[in-house]
Amino acid sequence: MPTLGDVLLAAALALAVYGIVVTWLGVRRRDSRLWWSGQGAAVAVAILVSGAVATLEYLLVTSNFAVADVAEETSRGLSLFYKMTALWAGNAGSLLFWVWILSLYTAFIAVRRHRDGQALVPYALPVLLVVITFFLGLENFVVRPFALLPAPAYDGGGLNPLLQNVWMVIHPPNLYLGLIGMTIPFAFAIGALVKGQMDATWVRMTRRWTLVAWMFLTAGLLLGGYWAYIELGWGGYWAWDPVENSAFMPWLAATAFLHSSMVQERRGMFKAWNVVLIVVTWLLTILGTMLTRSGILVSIHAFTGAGLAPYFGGLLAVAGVGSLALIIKRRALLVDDRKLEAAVSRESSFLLNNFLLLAATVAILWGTMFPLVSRYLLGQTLTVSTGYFDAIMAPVGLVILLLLGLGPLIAWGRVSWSNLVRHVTLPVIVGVAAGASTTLWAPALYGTNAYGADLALGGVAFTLTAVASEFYRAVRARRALNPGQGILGTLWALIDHNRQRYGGYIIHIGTALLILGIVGSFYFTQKATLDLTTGQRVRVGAYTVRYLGNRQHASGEDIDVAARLRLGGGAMVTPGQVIYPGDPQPVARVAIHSTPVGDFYTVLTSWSGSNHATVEFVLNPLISWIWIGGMVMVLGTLLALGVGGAPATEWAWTPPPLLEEAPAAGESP
Amino acid sequence: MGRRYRIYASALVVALALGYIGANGFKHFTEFYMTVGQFDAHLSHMVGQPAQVMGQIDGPTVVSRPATDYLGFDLTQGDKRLKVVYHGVKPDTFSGTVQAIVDGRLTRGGVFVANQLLVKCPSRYIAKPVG
Repeated sequence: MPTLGDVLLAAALALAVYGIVVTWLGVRRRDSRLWWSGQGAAVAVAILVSGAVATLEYLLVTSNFAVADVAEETSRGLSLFYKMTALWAGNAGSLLFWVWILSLYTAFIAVRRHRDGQALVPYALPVLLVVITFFLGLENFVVRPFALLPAPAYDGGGLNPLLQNVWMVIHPPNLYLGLIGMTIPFAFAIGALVKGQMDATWVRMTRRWTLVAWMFLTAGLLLGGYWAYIELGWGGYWAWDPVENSAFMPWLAATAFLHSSMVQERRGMFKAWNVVLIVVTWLLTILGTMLTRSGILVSIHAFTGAGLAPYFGGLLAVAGVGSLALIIKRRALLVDDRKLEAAVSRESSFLLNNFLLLAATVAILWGTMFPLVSRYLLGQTLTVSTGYFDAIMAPVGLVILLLLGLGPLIAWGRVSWSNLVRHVTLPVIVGVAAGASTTLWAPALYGTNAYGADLALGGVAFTLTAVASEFYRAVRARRALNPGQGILGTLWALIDHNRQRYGGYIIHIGTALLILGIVGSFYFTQKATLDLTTGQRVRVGAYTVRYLGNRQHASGEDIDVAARLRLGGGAMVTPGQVIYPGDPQPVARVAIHSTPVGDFYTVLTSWSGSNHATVEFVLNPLISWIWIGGMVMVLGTLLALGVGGAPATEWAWTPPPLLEEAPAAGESP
Repeated sequence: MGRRYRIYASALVVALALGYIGANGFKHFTEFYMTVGQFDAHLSHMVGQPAQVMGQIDGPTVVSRPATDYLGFDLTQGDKRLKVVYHGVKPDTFSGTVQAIVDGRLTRGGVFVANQLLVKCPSRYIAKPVG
């Protein structure tokens, strides 16, 4: 069985290389049959890699401990479900998962006819296959998922109890779908450069794909954040750990692209910048993969020294230099159709947004890579603490927050000042009022305040009001034309009519809500650790808590001890410790009473008998808005993608007609 | 002043502001990062310096008094060890077999007082011994 896996991976590699050659030749010779063959190869690669994944799944499920990956990540006692998800638990398996997703994306691109920009597909496909070839090369020669142990193990090492939860099941796939998905816009950008067709087509095509990847990346980041929030010792929902940063940086760059690409579509500007952005986004995903898997930076989430750095370094260098060379070669096609007309316009607000997002990316990159840089330059590893990242992100985040509200109010081209002033008056008043009132209620409620919080909460109020008033105006205008329609019906018709715009605005609302949660939990968190005896009543912040003693119960082989706490409103909170068989160390099970006002977060740190417990209480004001905001962002993205609308692609087995076209301008023979 | 110059000038102002914030943050938040062995070799210089130290938690040395939020343990690398005190909740993944990164300062008494304790994600990822 392991041999079958090896054979499938080898065949996939061979076919991927074949696919590169024939798709490329098909394009060069304008030969549809060659292209067709390459299309088939792309599909075959996906089928073969799927076969390899199925093989590894079979080995995992049947506990074939002759295979190193199976023995390292699972054990006999592990439930079927976690045996299956152990696919992406190890280095080799997760790389296989990686290339599997990429091959599926690629096959989809190959067989779907895009209504718009199908002419670019033959140029993008070889690029995708090159990336697949790189990862399949790793799988075949460097980190082999089907590598055998010298002698089969009797039992495997097992999956750490901490990873046996729903978050391990959903967080990595989302993150992977996001990171890997960025390969598609990159491939189209490179394809467009090679073809020499730098109009807005590639941007239109890739924006949808970038949006898909961006949505998964957003979800993946937030799911990871939530997981780290409920797990102790990972530094809370965000710790500026290199692995977290390496997923956040491409997110920032992709966010910049999603905005600046609109400028190219609407105004024919920022052409070169867009290509650079999408290349940078993809390079950052590869850099992130390298940091996570090479062990060159110390992270609590990284794989340890698997020796992959040179390969990823090589890919980064080749792709980076190659892309740059192509961009320089095509610079004549990347000249903007027009110049910025006014210092204040939608375009210039996008420019500022891009500038800030990129500055944040560079600052985070610098902070993340600094241990490496200092080791080589100074001979001493230095690192920056989280304070560095906070110091940068607070002001940058504040301006971005204001732009979230201001951007939608600013017109394209040249702004009408009287209109702008009329539209920002209410949001400004609400924002200032909210910020000023924070200085009153925050100290009363949380015993503390910070001017950063005042500014940020004012910003959130400004942005929410600005976007809401934009919706209000649009709904009102529509209702004037069609008075018979209800408000919700009009709202839906409005969104459906221009999904890109209103989906985007909904994402802005989600982002503002997410920032609200960050601000609350960053500035106003309170902590207390208390020894409790049964019957005792204590006050923690605004909460009254009564301790009702401990309860012990067994679920399967696990023993769960929980402290029973009753809140003033009657809600029960039962933080516990779980003792897993064979693991002397109990694992804390935090209990959270979550409301929009704040989380009441409890950790049972120790207990004795049934009447004594030591509990750490953490009050995290507003934190649930992070997750609510995240869900709104994903919802907005789905709307922007046109879920519920007409599909942008259709099935197509026939070769694209463009192959018979005359050579595109600027194409080398 | 022309439109373009105004745009360039604003860009410059924003860039300078960001540069200042970045440099300032950098100045205040840079610290040493060492393994226990490296830390041990520079021990005399490290008193009072903010630093992150990584090592293996030595199981038998762990003293945990949750009632006072006290957690004491030795971080080791080979035969080198560093006495660490941390005030806070013991992380889930904390055990005598995992690697940890402590962030804090060395006191004159030779005890490293950590204000942050991060424990290596247990996973999946096969831990290689430090060093």
